[in-house]
Amino acid sequence: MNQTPDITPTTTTLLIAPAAVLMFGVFVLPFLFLVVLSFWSQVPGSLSLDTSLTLANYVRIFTDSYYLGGLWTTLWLSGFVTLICLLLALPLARWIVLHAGRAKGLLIGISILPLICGALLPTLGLVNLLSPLGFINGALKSMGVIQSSLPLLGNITGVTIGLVQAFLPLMVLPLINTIERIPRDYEKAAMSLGASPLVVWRRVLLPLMLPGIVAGSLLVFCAALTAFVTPQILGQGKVVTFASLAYQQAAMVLDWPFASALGIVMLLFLALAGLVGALISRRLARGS
Amino acid sequence: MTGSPYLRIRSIKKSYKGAVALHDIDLDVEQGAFVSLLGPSGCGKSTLLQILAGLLEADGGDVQLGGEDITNLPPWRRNIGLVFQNYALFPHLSIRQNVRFGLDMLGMDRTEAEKRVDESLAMVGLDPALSRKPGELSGGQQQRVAIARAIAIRPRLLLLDEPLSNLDAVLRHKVRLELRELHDRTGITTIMVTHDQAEALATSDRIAVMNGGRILQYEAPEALYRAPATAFIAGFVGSPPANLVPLSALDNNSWTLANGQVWKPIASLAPRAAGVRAGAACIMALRPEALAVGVSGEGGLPGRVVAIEFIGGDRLVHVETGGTQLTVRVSAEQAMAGPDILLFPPQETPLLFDANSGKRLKADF
Repeated sequence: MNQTPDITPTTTTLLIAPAAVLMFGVFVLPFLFLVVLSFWSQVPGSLSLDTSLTLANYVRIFTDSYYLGGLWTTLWLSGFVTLICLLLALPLARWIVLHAGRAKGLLIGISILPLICGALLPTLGLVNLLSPLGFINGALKSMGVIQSSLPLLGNITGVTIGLVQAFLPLMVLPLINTIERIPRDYEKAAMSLGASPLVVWRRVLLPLMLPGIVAGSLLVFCAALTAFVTPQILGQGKVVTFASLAYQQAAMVLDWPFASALGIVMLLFLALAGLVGALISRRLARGS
Repeated sequence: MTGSPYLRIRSIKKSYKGAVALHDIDLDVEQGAFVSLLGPSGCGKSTLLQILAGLLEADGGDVQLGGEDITNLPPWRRNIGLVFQNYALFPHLSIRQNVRFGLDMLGMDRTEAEKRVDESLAMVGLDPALSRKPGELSGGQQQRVAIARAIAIRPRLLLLDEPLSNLDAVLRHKVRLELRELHDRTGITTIMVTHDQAEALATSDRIAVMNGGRILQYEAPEALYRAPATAFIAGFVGSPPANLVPLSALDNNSWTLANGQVWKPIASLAPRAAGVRAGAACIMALRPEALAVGVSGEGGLPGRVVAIEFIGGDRLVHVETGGTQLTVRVSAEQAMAGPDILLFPPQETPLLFDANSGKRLKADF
């Protein structure tokens, strides 16, 4: 006789327990501490903390033009990176689905490579490509296209290139997943009804790809919003993003309460992005 | 352009990676006709349909529609309606928006387009007030919406790609009648791809039977049934299709069956009557509904009853004879002796084919 163990609420709790304890210890507790910390303040000129609750840190973030500027830069940079990723990933994902055939697995593997090998290695590689004496400038100069090196490092251009490189897979994968589920007959039907390829994209394919576009955009936007290594290395400290501000405060200035407040603000924006994404997804799900 | 057919297909060729899908297809379709492309899967019928729709490019040949050469016209300029097996309704649009899609492409103004949507939905028997999404409809309703969408643009040609295959048997029967009625009302020249011969026989003015990338015969349904050009067609058309009995001529008067058994039929079915020389390998097609069953008599084909199926009104009797299993359709009232019986083919000209080429052997009169 085949005896299956009973799944009772007790056994379920036991099964979840190790992971729950771990999550509570290394995530929930520190996170709660972070929240509390952000309402404390640093006693000026010392490392001791003033534990009376205050909104001063938040007021500072939203009134000081330096931090406000960093927040603004991070937001539009993330939006811009998301847009570029979308424009690059749409044709790529569709090509992989329609034409890659047997090479599909390999191509998907290659396209998720930047995710697997971490942020540091590809970013350091990009430094070699983008620096004033790097491959790109060298090649352009030797071809006579440019006289002096293009500034590709230590500015928004470099950071954008780096972030797009790092997070393109987050856009490609959900898009492949969505596009695979769109039967090609939809396009054929639309064309027989008089839609040119451009109209087919606008009226049929893009609306049907929307769930994948929303998912991919959300992933890329959140990843870019919190990115630290890439903007730090390719921005060479000259591009101020929110993550680098938090790092400065936590590791150099040692104003932990303020660093915590910066972190919480970043989390709030992540939550906001997630909320917008969820609302759009729900709207789409109800629509179809 | 009087005299020339409405749709004129000439030497259309298509290969996929060296495998020939279509050999030099010629086909003429008169204006207002309902034509079926009938054949098993892989016979090239869908390829031909896609070429007509402009979704596939032919390797050679040309297509003329209403006197205009459309061979190189992109699909969105052809004004050819297309209905798919899986309906292909746009899931993000409502039913009305689906039907209106092609009208929007034409740039038709809103009131006129809405009127045309009402007309088209009414034409396929759907309530024009439907405001739902396609996913909420049954398969049969979805197929009606797909047809309404295709006819809303008043296409020059309506192409149906296995339109009934995803429907259950009862609905399939109903929708196929509706398809024919709709065709008669609109007068739109229609080409339907199907692997179901009953569907083709029931709906079409003419049927092009395809196999191996060729059109084997292009005839009205009755002619196809009465005088199939090849053994393949005889074995494909009819419900159930004709029994194909392999036999070879022993002498002028008798045949040798597959298991070596000798059969001496009545004179009109003998090798001499068909002009077949001794030793020639042939196939005789015997229609299940044309075989009479008896226990004694001249020229009977001896057999043994293997199984009997009751199909309501009639019985299908499966008979083992001369190494081949035949199906015989008899009235349910008819008493069956058995298991050993004699089958009597009709006394008219036999459907006799050359075993090698599969081509019909013309009786010598």
